Amino acid sequence: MDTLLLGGLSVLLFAVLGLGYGSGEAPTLLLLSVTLQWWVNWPHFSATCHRLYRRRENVSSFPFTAVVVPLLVLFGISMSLASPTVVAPTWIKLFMIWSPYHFSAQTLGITLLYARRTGWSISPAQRFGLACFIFGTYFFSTLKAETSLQNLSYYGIQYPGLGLPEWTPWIAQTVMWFGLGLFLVKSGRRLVSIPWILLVPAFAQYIWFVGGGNVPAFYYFVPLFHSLQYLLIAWAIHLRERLDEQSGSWRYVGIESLRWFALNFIGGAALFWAFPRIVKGFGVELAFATGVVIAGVQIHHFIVDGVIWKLRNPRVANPLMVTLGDLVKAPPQKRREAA
Amino acid sequence: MKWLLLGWLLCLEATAGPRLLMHTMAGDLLLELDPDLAPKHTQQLLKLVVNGVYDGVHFHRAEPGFVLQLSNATDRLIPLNQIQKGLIRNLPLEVSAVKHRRGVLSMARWEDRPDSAQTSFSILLGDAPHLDGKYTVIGRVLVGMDVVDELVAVPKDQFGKPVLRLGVSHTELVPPGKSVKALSLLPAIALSEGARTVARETWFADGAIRLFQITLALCLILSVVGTFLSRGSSLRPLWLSVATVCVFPWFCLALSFHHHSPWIGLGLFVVLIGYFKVMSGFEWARSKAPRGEN
Repeated sequence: MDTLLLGGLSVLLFAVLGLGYGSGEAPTLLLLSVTLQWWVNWPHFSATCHRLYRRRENVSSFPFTAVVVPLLVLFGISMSLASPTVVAPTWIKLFMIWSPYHFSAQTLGITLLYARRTGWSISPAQRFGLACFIFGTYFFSTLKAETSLQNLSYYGIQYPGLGLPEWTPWIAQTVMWFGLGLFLVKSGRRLVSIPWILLVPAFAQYIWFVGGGNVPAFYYFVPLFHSLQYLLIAWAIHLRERLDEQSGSWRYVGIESLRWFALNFIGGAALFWAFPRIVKGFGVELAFATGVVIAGVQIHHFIVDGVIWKLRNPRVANPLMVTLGDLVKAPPQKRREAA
Repeated sequence: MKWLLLGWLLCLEATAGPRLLMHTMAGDLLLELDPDLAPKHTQQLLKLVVNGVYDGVHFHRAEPGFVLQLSNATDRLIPLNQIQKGLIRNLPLEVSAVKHRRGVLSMARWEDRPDSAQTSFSILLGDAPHLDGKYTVIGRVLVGMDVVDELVAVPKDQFGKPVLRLGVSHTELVPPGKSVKALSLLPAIALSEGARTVARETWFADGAIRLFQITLALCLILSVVGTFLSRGSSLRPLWLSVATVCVFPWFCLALSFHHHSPWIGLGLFVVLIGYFKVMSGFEWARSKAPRGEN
């Protein structure tokens, strides 16, 4: 299940669409991806807020993140609404460049997490190589898109391309392959024993940002797959932390999972459906409000995620070593402090 | 009788295609569409003109030596009605051997989507060989390049936008056979002089804004220094927050100038990546674990 959710599903879909199945069905696929965003994409943003604000201890651990960051984002949203032609395009541009960077950071984090889980140690040089490869995919696809000065549109908000030099994507591609080479060389003979699950997120990332561009309609689903990765991790840590208060069992896993998902479904709908409509009530056109609010929610998510998911923090890393078996069989635990 | 008919025919201006008369704030433009070059574009544009889609649009982009570009019709002062919206559709690319030179009309489209042209088009102000074979040439300016030059000469503000809205009040289809003389075209109006006055007045009015920008710059420098000096300190998020508030307006400003040089865009991108990296360490956990626990 982990392999599928960490990127295996995206590889399968890429293969299916790449072989031509579903060609000509782009409107159906788009509709499917839009429907799934209610169930997968939006809850994953809510899961971040749920993790941060669920316990008072978390808020006191990260007071600036919990209090100041939402204010900063609200400031950005307000300025964008007040200045549709100058600030709003900049706000959208910031979000557009940050989003795939965030995807890449998550991919790297998940790879390192599963290296710990499987006991396959990664040296600093291997980590550097992995980071170069993963971020190289981001730089390559983003820089390639940004060589154009053409305006693009997001919910009707026109934002410019950066007009970068034409050679910049090729530098990024060189960095990408250098990173892969460094990782392989530094792994040496140990590569034979590498758990396949470690390679899945990075391979999926390559497909999302580089290979998938050639497959029609695949890119509709890239945010979905990124969200699936996140939900797996957030769900696991939530179940582990809630074990503080009760003993493990299949019943516990089932009920708590449903409760957690329902809360995040509602939270996601509140952030992405209700919030823009509240803003619309201030006399703003709905499409414009939606674009600005979505960018704001996501920027908030990028900042908070970077703060709360530090593997160097043992209170984050240790619960993530849990397996389903641990959750089902665990006896009641003493209450622990939050991350 | 036939001599009268021949005489009438001889009096007609020899034109290849349908003509559009565009009434701009700097004078009238007479444009000619070429159905042989771009039949689908010509047919669609005529339909749009007849239905008033090009009334109230404006030239939103004026790059001397390159293009004067008409905005999308959706960017009019008065919104399109439902019928007008329903007429707008994507047009397939219709390239030809005609080169992009001064006076040529070229249809705008999304760079990565060849068949995405809709309503916006540009008047070329000079040679643009990099557009040849990639963008649809739809016609040319028959009369009015002096009007075009007057529009392009309007000063730009600090964001690179013309200080005046270069409006088009009305666009109409010229009846076939009607001579240029009979159209009584409005000659070029010396717009740029008035616009320079507006620009000067705007500059003085912007004095307060400039003072604000200088203050922001100082706060930004202070907060960046504070961020670096406070590494490991619990006040680092505060400095980062101040830096974020200060850097954002400068990012807005820089984004307005990035089209002047690819290096500005590259610099912006590099700064952004650095910002993302710094923000990933916005804050570290403050609570300490009780003894004996992880």
